[in-house]
Amino acid sequence: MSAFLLFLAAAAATTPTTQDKVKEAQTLADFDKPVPPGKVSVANPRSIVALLQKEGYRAKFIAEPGKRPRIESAANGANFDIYLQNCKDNRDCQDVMFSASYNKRKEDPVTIEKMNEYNRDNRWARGYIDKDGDPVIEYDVLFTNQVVDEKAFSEAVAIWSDVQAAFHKIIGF
Amino acid sequence: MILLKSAALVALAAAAAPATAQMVRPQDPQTLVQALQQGGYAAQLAVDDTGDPMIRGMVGGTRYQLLFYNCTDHKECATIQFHVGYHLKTPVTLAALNEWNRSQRFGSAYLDKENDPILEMDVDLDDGGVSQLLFIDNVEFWTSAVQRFEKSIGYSN
Repeated sequence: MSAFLLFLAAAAATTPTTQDKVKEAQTLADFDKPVPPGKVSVANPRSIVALLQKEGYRAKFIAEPGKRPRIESAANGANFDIYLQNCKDNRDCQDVMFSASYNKRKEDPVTIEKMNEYNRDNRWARGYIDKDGDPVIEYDVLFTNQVVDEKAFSEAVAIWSDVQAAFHKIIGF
Repeated sequence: MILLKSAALVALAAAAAPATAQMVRPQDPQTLVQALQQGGYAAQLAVDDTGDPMIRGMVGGTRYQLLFYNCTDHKECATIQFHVGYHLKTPVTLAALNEWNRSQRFGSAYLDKENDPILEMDVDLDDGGVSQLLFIDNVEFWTSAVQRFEKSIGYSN
C-alpha cells in the first residue's frame, strides 16, 4: 500500500502538470531580466553565477517553489549560499546575503561568547548561534535598482572569502 | 556663519553636478559629508584617534561615528564603517545580542571589552566610489538598524 502511494508520489513528481510548467516558465522569466553592461543583477542571477565562476568558484542558481531563491557555492572548503533578499513572493528580489552555517559540534560546541568575540574583532559580517545551536555567518550586500557593478561584486566575493576564513578559525572548522 | 557658508557650498555642488556624476568616494571624505547632508542627515568631518578621517553623524538624537578604513597615510581610504556604542545602566546580555544578530540584517552587534553594546555596519565603497543613491540606501539601512537596536537594548535618549 505505502509502496503504491510512493509510486504515485514519484509519478506526480516526474510528470509536471501544464500549470507547473507555466509556473516554472514564469519563475525563469522573473530571473532573466536584461543586465546592463558591467553590472550583475539580482533580477538575473545567472549574471552572479557567471561572475562567481569566472572568479574560480563553483556556482549554481536554485529557485525552488516556496523557498528563497539562492545561489549555491563554496569557498575555504565549505559550502555557502547567496540568498536573494527582499523578494516579493520569492521573486523581484532587491539585494543579497552571503550565508554559511555549520553543524553544531557534539563535543565543545561553539558558544555565544565565541560569536561575540568574532563580531568584536572582525568587520563586515555577523556571526551567531541559531536555534539548533549551529554557528552561522552572514554578510549583506546592497544593490541599487537590483544591480551593482561587477567590480564591486567581485570585491564583495573577496571580502566574503576572507570573512568565511576568519569565521572558520573562530569555530575551529 | 560657517554653517551658512557650507550650506551654500552644498547647494552650489548640487547645482553644478548632475546627480549621476556625483560619486561618493572614500578617498574624498567630503563627498560623504555632502551626500549625507543632501540626504537630510547631519554630518561633520573630523579626525579619529589614529589620525584617519571620520564623520560624526546623528540619527534620531544619537551620535554615531562613520570611520574610514584601509587608508594610506590617513588618506585614500577604501572602506567605511558605521559605528555606535551605548553605555547603559542595565547591561545587555550576550544572549540578547545573539538574538539580534540572528534575526536582523545589515550590521552586527557585540559587547565590547567594557561590556557596552556596539552596533556596526561595514560598507565597501570600491575604488571609483559608489553612487549617492547606493550610499544613501546604506545610510537608510543603518538609520533603521540603529533605531531598532536602541529599542531592543532598551535605550532611549
